[in-house]
Amino acid sequence: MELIEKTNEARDDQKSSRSRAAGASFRQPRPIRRRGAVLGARRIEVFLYVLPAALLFCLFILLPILSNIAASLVSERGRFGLGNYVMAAADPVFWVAVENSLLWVVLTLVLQIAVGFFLAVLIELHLPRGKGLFRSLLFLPMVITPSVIAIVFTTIYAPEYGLLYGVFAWLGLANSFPALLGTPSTASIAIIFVNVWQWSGFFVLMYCVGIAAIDREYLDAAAIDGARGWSRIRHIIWPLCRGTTLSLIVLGTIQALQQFPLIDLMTQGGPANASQTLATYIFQTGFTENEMHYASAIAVVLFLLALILVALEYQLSGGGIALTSKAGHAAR
Amino acid sequence: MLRSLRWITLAAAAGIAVAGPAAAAPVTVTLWSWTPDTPTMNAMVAAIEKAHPEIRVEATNQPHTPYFTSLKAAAASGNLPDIIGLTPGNYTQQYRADVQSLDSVAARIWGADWQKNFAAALLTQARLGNPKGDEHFYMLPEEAEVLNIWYNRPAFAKAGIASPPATFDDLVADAAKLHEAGFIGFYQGGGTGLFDNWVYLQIAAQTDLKDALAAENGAPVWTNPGMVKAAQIWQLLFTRKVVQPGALSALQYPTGANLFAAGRVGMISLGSWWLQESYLSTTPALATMSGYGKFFLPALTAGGSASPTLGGIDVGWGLTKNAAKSPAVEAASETVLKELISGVAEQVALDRLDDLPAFNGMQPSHPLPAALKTLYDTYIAELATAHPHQIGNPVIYQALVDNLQAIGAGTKTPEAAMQAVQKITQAQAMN
Repeated sequence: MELIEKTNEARDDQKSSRSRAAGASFRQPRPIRRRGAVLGARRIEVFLYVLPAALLFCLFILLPILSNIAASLVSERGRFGLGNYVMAAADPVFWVAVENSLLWVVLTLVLQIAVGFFLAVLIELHLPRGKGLFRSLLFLPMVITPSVIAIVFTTIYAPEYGLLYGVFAWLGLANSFPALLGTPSTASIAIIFVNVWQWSGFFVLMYCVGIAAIDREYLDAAAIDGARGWSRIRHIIWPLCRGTTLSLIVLGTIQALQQFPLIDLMTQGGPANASQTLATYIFQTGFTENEMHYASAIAVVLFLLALILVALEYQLSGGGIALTSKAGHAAR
Repeated sequence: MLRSLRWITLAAAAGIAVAGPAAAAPVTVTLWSWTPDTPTMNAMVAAIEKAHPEIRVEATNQPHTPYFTSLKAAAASGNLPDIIGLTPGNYTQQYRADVQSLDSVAARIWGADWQKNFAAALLTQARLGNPKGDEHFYMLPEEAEVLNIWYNRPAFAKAGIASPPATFDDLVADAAKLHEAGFIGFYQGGGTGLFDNWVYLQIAAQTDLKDALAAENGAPVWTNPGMVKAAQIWQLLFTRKVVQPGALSALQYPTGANLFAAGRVGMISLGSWWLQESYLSTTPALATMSGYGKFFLPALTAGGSASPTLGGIDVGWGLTKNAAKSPAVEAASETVLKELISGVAEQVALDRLDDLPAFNGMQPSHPLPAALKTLYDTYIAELATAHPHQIGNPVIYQALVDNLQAIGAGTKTPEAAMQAVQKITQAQAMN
């Protein structure tokens, strides 16, 4: 407990030293005219630095977003208004897609954080050697293309000839083998599991970096205070990896909402739209059903959902989202 | 100085005269498609370029879904290639504004009476979905197909089944016997919506052919008794365990086709294009097709009869407006179109039994093994009386697929599912 208080004190010290630094620069006397000229030149310089990136952002991000919003406000028959949004509100498949998108966010985040953190603790704190090898092995699924993963897992899950079915048959349970991808209630969860398998290595790697960045003094002090095992993980390591966790939550949310290839390749959003998410439904309405304006409206909803979730996470984190290499320090 | 210049000019002129006119660079024609398979497409392109050294064909082959996605993006950005592969109905209609009317092109290639070269049913399908009064052709067929159920003879023999099923009860019993013998009884790639749609249409063609054909053309007839009956039979395929467990997530291609070729499946819904396996495989049972047979869905109701033949255009070609960018490209594109439909390229595809020819008089140039020849000849005869097998409207098509899957998954009754398709069809009719 002493250590936690110490951690909080360190954070307060950091804040007050930042305030002092800000105050100090504010108090520095400068000639007014010269300061204005310098500021003006500085502003132009900053503007010129920012300009290329801003232009590219406008051209490739802002313009398509605005263009998509405009397209969503026109019906397939060319009428202007909120017709596509009204249609979405009355479309049961749209709501299945929203529900599944949220399920993806919650399940993938919880599982990937749990698995990632647990394995990272094992590797960083309990593995005497071969850390690099394990990190690489766990990261390997990340570099496999989703189409290969989809084919492999579809075959593993397949009733009658799949690997899992073989195991069930060997155990004499062939008749109770569940058709995971072919059953509406399990299709999404079965694909989410594949996504967790693929992405957990990334979470492990990020947590490994986060844990490695923790100052040994804290761990040593915790050991002296008697914090060991679960207590050390819960009260010392987990709080000090807060920055890493917050970053992973944001990245994981965006990744989960954007997930398309695994779903498209494994179930095409089926059976009977049971595994449809907003990302796959955009493709189905736009490219299969040829209703681009309706697809644009769903894309706007997905954009807003991502924006709201990330803003919420940012708010809850108190703006403490940082890249993980500095995570340990940011939390201190 | 002037004298030197004169000599230089003369020497240059002589040089040009000796060298003769520069060889003209070949005209490039761009072509995109999803079919046939890439090796066959490459062979077709090579045959065209050999027959026409003045033409270079840049062909791009992609799987079905990415192909039509790329096509949409290319059309939106004005970058369509000169020639595009199309299916009749929905896909041709989507690109009607981007492709040329082929009436005059066909007349230039095959003469004023060019229509006599194609079966009337195929020409009708080529215009499926045209606005009322528009009798133009925006695609012309290269290959045609017939839908049916294929079966594996050795698997049937091992399961103690003497002949293909003749009734629904036979179908149920045969699927069970095949399963007992270690095979997948009736493989249904229910994750591939197209095959759900095709199996349902084959059932509906039995229970109410007239409404089935009307439904393909967008008529709101899904709640008529024959169509609902077909949905009920579709449900029985799942509840009576005719199709394999997990069928709704299984893929017809590549999984189903590969398992069937590997001898793991007893029955599967495919079509005449399966003959192409005879070219692709070196296994005698496949290379000669002696190990495989075909049948139409047996009578599924008491006193009924087997499904009538469904089939028609498999793939056709459209000439985009971009092909008219120069007279040279336009002329070269027309030549390529001719070779694809009735010339050296189609001959290459046909020799590999890629599918059935749409152009009258075309046939494989090499002798076929007996079993293969019987199958091929039967298909050609069946094609002449085949009923259309494509739903023209993509929204109705998707609604049907979704609801068939819901029936299979047990989340909707056949009646409720057909009601849902009917509602969407009516909404489309109002648009």
